[in-house]
Amino acid sequence: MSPGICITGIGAVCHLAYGIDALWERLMTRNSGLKDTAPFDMEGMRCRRNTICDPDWSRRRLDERFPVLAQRLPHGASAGTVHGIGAAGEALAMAGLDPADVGRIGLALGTTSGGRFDDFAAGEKVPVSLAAPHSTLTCLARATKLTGPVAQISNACTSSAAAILHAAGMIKSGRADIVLCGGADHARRTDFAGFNALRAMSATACKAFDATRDGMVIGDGSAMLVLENEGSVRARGVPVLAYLDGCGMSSDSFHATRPHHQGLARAVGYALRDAGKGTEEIAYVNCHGTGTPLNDITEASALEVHFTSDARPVLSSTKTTTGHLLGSTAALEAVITVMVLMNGTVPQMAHTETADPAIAFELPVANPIELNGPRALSTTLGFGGSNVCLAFSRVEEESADVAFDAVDA
Amino acid sequence: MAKQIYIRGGVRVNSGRATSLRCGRSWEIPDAPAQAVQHTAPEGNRAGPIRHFDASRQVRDAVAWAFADAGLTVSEIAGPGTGFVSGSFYGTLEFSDRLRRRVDDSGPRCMKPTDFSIATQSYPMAALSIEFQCTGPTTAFVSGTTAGLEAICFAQHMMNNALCERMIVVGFSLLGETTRYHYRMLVADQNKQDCIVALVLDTVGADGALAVLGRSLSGFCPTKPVADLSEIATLGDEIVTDGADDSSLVVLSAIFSALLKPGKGNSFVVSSTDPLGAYSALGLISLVKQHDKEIAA
Repeated sequence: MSPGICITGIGAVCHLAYGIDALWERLMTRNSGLKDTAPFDMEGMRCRRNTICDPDWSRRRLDERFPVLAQRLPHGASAGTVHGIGAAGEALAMAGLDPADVGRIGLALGTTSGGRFDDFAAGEKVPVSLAAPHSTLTCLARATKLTGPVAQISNACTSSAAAILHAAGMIKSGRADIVLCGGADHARRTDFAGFNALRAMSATACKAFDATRDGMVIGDGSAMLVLENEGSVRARGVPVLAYLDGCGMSSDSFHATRPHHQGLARAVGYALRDAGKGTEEIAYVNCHGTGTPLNDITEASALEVHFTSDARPVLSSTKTTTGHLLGSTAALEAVITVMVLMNGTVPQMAHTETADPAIAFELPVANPIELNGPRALSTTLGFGGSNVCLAFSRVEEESADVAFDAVDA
Repeated sequence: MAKQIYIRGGVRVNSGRATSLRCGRSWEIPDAPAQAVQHTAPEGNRAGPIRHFDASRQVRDAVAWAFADAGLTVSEIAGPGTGFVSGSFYGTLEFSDRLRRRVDDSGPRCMKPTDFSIATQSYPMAALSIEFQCTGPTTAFVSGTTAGLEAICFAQHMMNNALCERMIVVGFSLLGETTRYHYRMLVADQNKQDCIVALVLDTVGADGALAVLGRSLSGFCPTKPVADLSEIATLGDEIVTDGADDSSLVVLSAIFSALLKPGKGNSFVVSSTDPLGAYSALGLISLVKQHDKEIAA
């Protein structure tokens, strides 16, 4: 068995789908479901294209799939919290845990929105506890009766990647045998205004790595993973979906928003070192790939530092289909990377039609691409120059197929 | 592999004063050295000037004093060996709420891109990495009362996994009008004071280190939800109350206070609980006061 940390459960809630089965189906059919309306006032926004998850729909699905968790959700909880509990329920159930009473496991959550402080400050009737910035963390722990160590990280776009990294640290240090980790976020009017002000958004679609790419599409939602040490997996006898082999983190020390390729190259190097392996057998990299002209070329440049031979992995950005889920985006892409390893296929990117010739990697532009190796990376970059790389490997056993079917709560 | 981690120095800023850990100096903020760590405009990567808002500037000054207290030079700080992590209850929420008000009052086109680009919880740490040319990990914990403890745990994980050699752990509580109002409603505390604690944790520098973090970082302490202990940390058998500090700083501040008190024994355990009912079993950090241990030896 791989020495990596075991991944025993995954869950996702986003505008595309409620649950990983539906998510995979939408990815394979390139159905991005872009829209121009949002739960908040879009008046004055130059670009309105988005993948924001309908909070009412998310709440109805939560009521249907995880009624016990839904009942424990306080009235007035943020949309991010609603998304998060749904994703957590799916991941925990898949890991063979009772989502309504998980007990002594850890929780590491990444988010940029946290609670409903914005609404509270604007004078809306919001319970004081739900306005606290860590209220999503608290609600998640309470709903699942989680009694392990809890942590909430807010690190811009790398929030949930840092949360996964911190969860791995909880397991390695012995603070927890099992950790629920990921991201839960809801897009706010301020976020939209800000990315519009930065001229970082596309009015049409995210066309990552396309020669004509012109920006990102913002969305929100949640994705969760259950990480577990090998001893706990053996004791519980649960199937492993994939392995988290290594994590790397670095800073660019360059600019508040502009990335520098050396920073991400360092993070990739650390992840590979943590995994105890080189670049061999890495068949796929799920990139941050926001679709801005600068991000995509910088990311490719960073990867070229490590992948110097002809045997290069396939790159893709699933943001072309899912959008950029802010603090949750890294967790969603980690979940998708796990599904790619399990399924052996890289979904074709939506909206990207003409690969940028400056990107010297194969991209699934015309068709899905079959994996030709057992390992994958997921990279994330964030404001302030934060970089995180997660290294995964697939399970080379039959149990992988058993685990892929979603387990009903 | 777990490494020996030392506390090399630090500073606490509250009530208008800055107190250094190692040197035991204390000065009024206006009299504090403007730039304890002198550095020139770095060669290499940095692109453009570093922007600050009030909280990030105060954090920056505190960290600069902490570096000086730890006896670190500019060249020692710069590079991949140094990272930054913060733990805070509200973090930078006051600044980002200012942007929200501007958008609500005047429309989205009044958003300044330069303001939005720094309105993240992790910006104070990112600004430090840019200013001091450090390319180690940076992140921010906003976990309520567990934030400071989780920040220390994160720092230890980063050093144990050789992602850096040194981590500066910063706890801060810098409230503005809106966050202070929320805090008053949350814990009925009318006398909330601002506070910053910056500790320099290092894998080198055993000579002269103030304390050693216990090798087994933390164990489980399964608890039921307990009574409100938002202003309490326990140091061994002694309960330390420090009402002036944000509850998220309790752990960091308690460490700071303990290290300032000579003759308190050469080892103590710091624990904390989350009174907001996260049902969190938190880790324990065992600290060994190097100074006392050497005296005892």
